[in-house]
Amino acid sequence: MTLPVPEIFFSPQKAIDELKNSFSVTNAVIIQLSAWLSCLTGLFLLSGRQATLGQFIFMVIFSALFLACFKTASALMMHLFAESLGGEGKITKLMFLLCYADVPLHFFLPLGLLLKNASFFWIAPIFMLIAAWVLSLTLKTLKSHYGLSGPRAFAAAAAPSLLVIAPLGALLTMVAGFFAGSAILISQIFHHMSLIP
Amino acid sequence: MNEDEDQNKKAAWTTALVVLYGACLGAALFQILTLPPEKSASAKETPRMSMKRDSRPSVAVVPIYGTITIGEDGPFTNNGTDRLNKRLKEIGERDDVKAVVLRINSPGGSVGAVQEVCDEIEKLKASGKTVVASMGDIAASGGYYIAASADKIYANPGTLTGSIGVIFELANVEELIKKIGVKVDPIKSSVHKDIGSPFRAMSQDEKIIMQSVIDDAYGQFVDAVAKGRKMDREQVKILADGRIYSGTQAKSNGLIDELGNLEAAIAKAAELSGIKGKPKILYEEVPWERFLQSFSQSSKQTLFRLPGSQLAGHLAYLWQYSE
Repeated sequence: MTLPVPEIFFSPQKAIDELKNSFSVTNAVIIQLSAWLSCLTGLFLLSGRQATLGQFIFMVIFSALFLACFKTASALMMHLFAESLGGEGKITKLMFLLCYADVPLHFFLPLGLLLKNASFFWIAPIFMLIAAWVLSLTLKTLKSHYGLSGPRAFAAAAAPSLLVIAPLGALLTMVAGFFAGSAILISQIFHHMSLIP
Repeated sequence: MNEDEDQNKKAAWTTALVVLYGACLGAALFQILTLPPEKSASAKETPRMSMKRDSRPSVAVVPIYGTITIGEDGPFTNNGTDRLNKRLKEIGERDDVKAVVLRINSPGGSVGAVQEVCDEIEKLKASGKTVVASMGDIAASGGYYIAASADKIYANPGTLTGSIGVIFELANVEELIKKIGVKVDPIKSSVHKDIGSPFRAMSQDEKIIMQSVIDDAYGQFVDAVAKGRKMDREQVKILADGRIYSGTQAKSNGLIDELGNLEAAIAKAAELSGIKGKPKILYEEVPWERFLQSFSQSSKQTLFRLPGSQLAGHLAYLWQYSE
């Protein structure tokens, strides 16, 4: 087994172009699983949580299953959009290539060790940086695999977020806003009704 | 040749990264798994109490916030004595808990509720646990009643405490209902059955009866303070004219033991219970509390913590003007 390093970090487009022609399914799966394991372990460390071995294994398995479902659904939507935007490629190959796009998630592990109990204001920009890196690799994968232009690859990559995550987030925000607004309104009514200053 | 070199280079990178990854993962797992929370029998029975258990001797911190009332917790209130007493009982049954710190931030509550909590604290002390009270912003009236039953009392210099006394406020809306054309005709079995009715003025006899009840409850309060603080009853009566005291004043007149914050109270509790080294501290997690904190704190305070709002028509050890 060999990893596409250091090319995936320093010349990602070249690395992905090479992987497209000679990727290993086993490597891809191992990289994906280790990326998720790193991410989960790093988040455990950053949040200062502890667990028994059993709880940790359960969390890893549960998260891996959840992420696998999420990843499959995302890849399916990306594939549909990429094809409808004029690209050509196989979804199975895309799924394995997308495993390499998650390579930056490995950085959560050392970051978790280094930034344990650090302020959220330090951690948040790092989260965003890693997310942007993953997105960038995803775009490069779509460009390489489907032969799409940059904007079209972006449209295909953003489709799952725009169609599922954003509406879901908007819905949750609306519900939270409704309850928070109601709480504030009722509290003000109570406040004005009360004799207590 | 170049391709071989490239492959060797990649293999070297791979090996180095796998080793580094393994080391990082090992270190991370060591940190995550070093203090595993054990599932306890009591935790299984009462899922709301999510205190994590390990074998170290512990100091449990029990929050007593807001107006203390009898009953179950509502969705937005968490100081029903049913929960509090259940929690104190559970702590009493746990061998690993050596001391309890009552974190009090309360203007008091209904007489029965406060006395029920005190009974549980007495049982805790009888089971060999050290009980230390730590006052926050306010521990007045019933809040002080509870604190008085502790082995030691800590307060901040600016804590409002005291207000030793009883109050039973009754409204008289007779004139108001006349204005809106309502007449209330109670049919009663005996002459004093509608004592405290808000629809008429109180008679002199009724005032005497009510005063006697208040005096009796006041006497119980004074006795509880005298017993808890090991003070002379007459000395307590002098202090117990209903006034509030600052933490500093309370220390100088013997109502509290020390000035200090929660941390100092925890350290004292650990010391008194003979815990050597740093004790494990158990806090209670109240899910609704966290949820409500996600809204504005002021809204929550106004909505759910009006002092006395739950105590209309109840005899109360309460200082009404705290919020």
